[in-house]
Amino acid sequence: MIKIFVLFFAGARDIVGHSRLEIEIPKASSIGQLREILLARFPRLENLASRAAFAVNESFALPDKVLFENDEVAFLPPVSGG
Amino acid sequence: MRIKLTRDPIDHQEMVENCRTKSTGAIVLFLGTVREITGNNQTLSLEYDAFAPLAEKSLTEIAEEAKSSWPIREIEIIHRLGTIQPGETSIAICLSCPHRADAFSACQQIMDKIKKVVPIWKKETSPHGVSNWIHP
Repeated sequence: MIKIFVLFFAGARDIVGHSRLEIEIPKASSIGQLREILLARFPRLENLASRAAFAVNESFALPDKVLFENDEVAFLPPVSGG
Repeated sequence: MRIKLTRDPIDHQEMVENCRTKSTGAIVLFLGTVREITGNNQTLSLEYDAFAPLAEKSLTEIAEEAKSSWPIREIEIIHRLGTIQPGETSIAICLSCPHRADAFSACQQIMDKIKKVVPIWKKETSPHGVSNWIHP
């Protein structure tokens, strides 16, 4: 297992109850697999998770990106700036 | 080029003066302002939150991309964070180009892109104290 950090914003932060969470995931997990892990732990994220974008260490990242120890993943629900 | 997230009111007049150059014949300023009434709903205030480092990076990329597509000489984008009231400015885009057609279309495309990708979110507070994050 490896330890990573996940950042939550806006509606996702309200659902999870934290803005930053340390979690353990199997080694070589991808963002897509992390999404499944988060959904299992926070089922109410489903609506946002299916439409969320992700960033790793402050850069946008696709679901197939593999995560490493201490990576900081941002869970980005659909945006509404402007 | 100036890209900024701020909790203070946006001074758009300063942005216009920063974009004024002798080699450009058009300055376009777009202000996004908080609308009090949408259909039958009233908005008391909006609260903006961002993943600031990525939002700034993303705004910078959008501005750079626009500069490679249009003859933009100066460009500034400022987005407000925190709680703001109806009528106040939430975002300002100001840019200058030699001619107006380029300035108008650059500004429109920049704004459309910002609304799609930049990690900024707003929470709407309606009467009766109901607050909701907007996730379109």
